[in-house]
Amino acid sequence: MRERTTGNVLFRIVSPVAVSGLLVALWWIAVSMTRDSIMPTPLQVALGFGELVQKGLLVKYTVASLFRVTWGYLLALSLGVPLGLALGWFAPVSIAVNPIIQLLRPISPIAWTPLAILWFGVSDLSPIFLIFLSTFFPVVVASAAAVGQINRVYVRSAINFGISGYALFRKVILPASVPQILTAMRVALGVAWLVVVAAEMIAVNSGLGFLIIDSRNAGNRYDLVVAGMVIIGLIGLVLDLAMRQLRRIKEFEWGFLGG
Amino acid sequence: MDRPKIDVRDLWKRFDGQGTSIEVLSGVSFQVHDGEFVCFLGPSGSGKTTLLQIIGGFDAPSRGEVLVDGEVVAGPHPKRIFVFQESGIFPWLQVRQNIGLGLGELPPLERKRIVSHYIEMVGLSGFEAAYPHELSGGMKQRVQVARALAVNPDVLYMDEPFGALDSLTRLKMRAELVRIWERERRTILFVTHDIDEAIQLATTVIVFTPRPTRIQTVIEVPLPRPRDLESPAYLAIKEQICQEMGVPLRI
Repeated sequence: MRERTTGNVLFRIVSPVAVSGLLVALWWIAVSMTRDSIMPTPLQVALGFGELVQKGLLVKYTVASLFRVTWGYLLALSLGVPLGLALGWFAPVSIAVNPIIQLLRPISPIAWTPLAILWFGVSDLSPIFLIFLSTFFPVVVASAAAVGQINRVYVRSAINFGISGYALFRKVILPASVPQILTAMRVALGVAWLVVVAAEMIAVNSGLGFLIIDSRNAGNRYDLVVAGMVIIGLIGLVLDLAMRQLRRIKEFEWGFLGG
Repeated sequence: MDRPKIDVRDLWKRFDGQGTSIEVLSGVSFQVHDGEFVCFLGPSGSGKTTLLQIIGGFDAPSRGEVLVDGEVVAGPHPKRIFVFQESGIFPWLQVRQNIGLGLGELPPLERKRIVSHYIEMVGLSGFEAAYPHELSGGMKQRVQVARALAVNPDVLYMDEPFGALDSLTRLKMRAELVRIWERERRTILFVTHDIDEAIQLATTVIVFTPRPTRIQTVIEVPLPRPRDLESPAYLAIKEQICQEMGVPLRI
């Protein structure tokens, strides 16, 4: 049974290429047949891509977007993970803080855009703030849940050996939660990458999101719109592959078995 | 004789739920002396584990008290180590780090020496740097036993530690535990629902009734070691326990 699909290396390389190629071909045929002057063909997109590289916009906008994601994301992790761990471990903190988190959490980060512009103006801080919001809440909730799901036997063993207080946190609570937190970090980075594009369409004058909206507004350059979309997809893929590598840390392999 | 190592005095335990109340222990008293190997034997779902957790300090009785060395147990103690049925060791630590868990206060060299000693004793040489998920169930329990022995405890509380293992591994682990106990003479309280396991290991078997748990009978096992599982004396004790528990001897 396994041989048929997963065993064949050739199949694993050829089939995705074939499917992608087929879709590109369909796109090309559809645009050619409709003779649509606005919708670009794959070739036009590739040329647009070259134009972006030539003008230096590709690197510039990609760096701008990654810069915002990095800061918003790191800020969210550095505040969200500790807060989540505290929520999971100290019942009083949870009772006091959890309701407001649950209220703020379902609000789309995009809904905060007007406030972000009011507070931070048209600057890097606005998208960073929005990315922070989009990443912070999932990380808090996942970290708290991770602590809540720690096997009680671990804690009991540690206490039995006289480990308590901060040592208990450092030696048991934190490492026992890490696999779930890593998973949440990976999902959160994906969300951050989604949000930066949306935020840049509204709140700033650079970045891949701005590239897309600006290309459309300034002369219907849909070849650049689609080229921008492709770049966003590729970078998102690379980010996710990078985050996946975290599961390979030997110490935390146990948390990803069978997953 | 001198003061008992462990003195269990009239323990009662009741779990209160919404509108229901389950009596788990009703008036359990016994004493264990230093160096004894005591098995708690009873049907599954009786209060044996609850009893051991109370003695270990992880749970409080509704009434009664437990004294160890003459002092009332108020919580877990690093000189009295609990060995859990499974997942007691930390999956994010290597074997040697797990075994060294309770040795944080010692200088590194001393720590290393003790860890190596117990790794060898439980037959895990070569697996020092392995992570628990790379080990079999039996090896994991050896790590847990080694981790417990490494802190030089007076007492081991073992809650069906071999319950999740296959029957061959279980037999081997019993033999090793007896070997270690004979060498180190810790006091061991061992929960099991397996009659043979109790007779093979214990100096004293305490047979418990189904819930609410009381002591049904206490049976001394004066058999010499290594124990012959087919000797008339062994079979006589087995027959006696089976009769006490209402278990048919022949199927």
